[in-house]
Amino acid sequence: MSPACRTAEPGPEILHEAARWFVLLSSGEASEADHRRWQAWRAENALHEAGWQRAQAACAVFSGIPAGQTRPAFDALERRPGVSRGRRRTLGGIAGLFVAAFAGWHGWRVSDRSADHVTAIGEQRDIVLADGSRLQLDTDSAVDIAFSDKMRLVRLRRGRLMIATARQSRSDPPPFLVETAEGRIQALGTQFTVAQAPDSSAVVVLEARVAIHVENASGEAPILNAGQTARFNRRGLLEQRPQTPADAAWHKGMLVADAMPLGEFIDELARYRTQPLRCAPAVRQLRISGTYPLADTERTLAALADTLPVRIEALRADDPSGGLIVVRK
Amino acid sequence: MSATHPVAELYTDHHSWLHGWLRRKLGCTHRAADLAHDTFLRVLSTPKLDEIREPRAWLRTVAHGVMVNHLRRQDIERAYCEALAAQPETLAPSPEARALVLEALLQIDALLDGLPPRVRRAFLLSQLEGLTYADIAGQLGVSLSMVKKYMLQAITHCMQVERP
Repeated sequence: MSPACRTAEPGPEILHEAARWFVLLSSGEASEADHRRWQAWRAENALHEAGWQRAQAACAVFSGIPAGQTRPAFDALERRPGVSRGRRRTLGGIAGLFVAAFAGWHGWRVSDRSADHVTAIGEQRDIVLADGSRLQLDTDSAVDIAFSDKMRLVRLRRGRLMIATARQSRSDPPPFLVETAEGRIQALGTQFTVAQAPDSSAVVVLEARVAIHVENASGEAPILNAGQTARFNRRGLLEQRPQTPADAAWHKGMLVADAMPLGEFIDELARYRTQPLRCAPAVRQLRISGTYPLADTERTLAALADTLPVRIEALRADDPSGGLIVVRK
Repeated sequence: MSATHPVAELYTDHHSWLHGWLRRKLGCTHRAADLAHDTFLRVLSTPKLDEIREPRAWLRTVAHGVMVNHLRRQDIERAYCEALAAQPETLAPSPEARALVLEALLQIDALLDGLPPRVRRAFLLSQLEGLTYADIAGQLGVSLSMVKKYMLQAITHCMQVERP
């Protein structure tokens, strides 16, 4: 949904390679040749070395256990209550209420017609909720609303939404929560957006703060402040960084790009179009900047051809209505 | 001073409610008082306090975190004491060394939070006890390739965990 972080961070492939090296070297079976190949891999590229450092740093806490203490340390970690029977024990309060509700989320997409609110491709819609809070749905999204005395729950089945909670007259209103496949986001008097991706959720906090209750982590719920954005999966936070204007521009009907790779830009635009829109691999890495209206993707595409060395063509020559592709001019 | 500090205001308005909430959860008024205190300590370090529009929902979230940490700490401390008691006396570490080990245990436990028990055990046997994969496979009763799979899953998890 948002442009990738552009600092010199090792990407997922490099981190995966680093993890594999770690597994090999921890096995006690690595040969001299393995060690040489590992050294060569690290020296090959600064990002490789950075990836390796991440693997090292991830396990740095183990060095806090002195050699003579490893047996009681292991026993303590294995014996502690809650480990063998899952980690749900400490989940009290609001979190516990969700365990049952979560069991069925996999079926959501198929049962789309039963959703309380659905937007079509290209549609954005504003909804005022029973407590006066505002819900804005982005293109191709589906939500359920479940308000009760215990909680105000908005379940995001897919797509993206923005919530602006209204000030409540009660001194202790029920918690306001947005639930995704990966966890729950609790509004703490606030405005924020939530997006459901295939295997993660992303939150952008526009005002005040939210708490993130990740599905499979029993620890403390991280609190995200205004100006921050975070992505998480069912195990925990994957990324947390300051937000850019691009992150939540959609709720103002805009697509904001700041040197965004054209491929990402087109993928984002495609979410608002019924017919397929593709980007040829040869031009995916071109960079694009500017602010574009989401309601008029035709105009955006036309503008594209004026500023970049690209041309818009029919995806299939024999069928002009079958979608478009952006290719090199 | 004309304007009251936002923390003072929060404290006056919600402290006794928070204490009550924690007492109902923990069933102990002293512990509830300690944790309410810890909660407000954490509140002090929060930027832009005056923006909070639902103070009780927010306090409950912070207090819940404080409580989860407290219970976790208690569990691990107890488990570590039991493990030490099972050791020969000559190996008993000093109180300082115990405190340091306990801190490390808390960090390790938080790091591995969310991993399946077998994956967790395989990783601990490797990283804490320095066992080879063949030994781990023997202890867990699984194949060597399964141990490698567990190890990859665990290190990937650890590399993804955001640590404060």
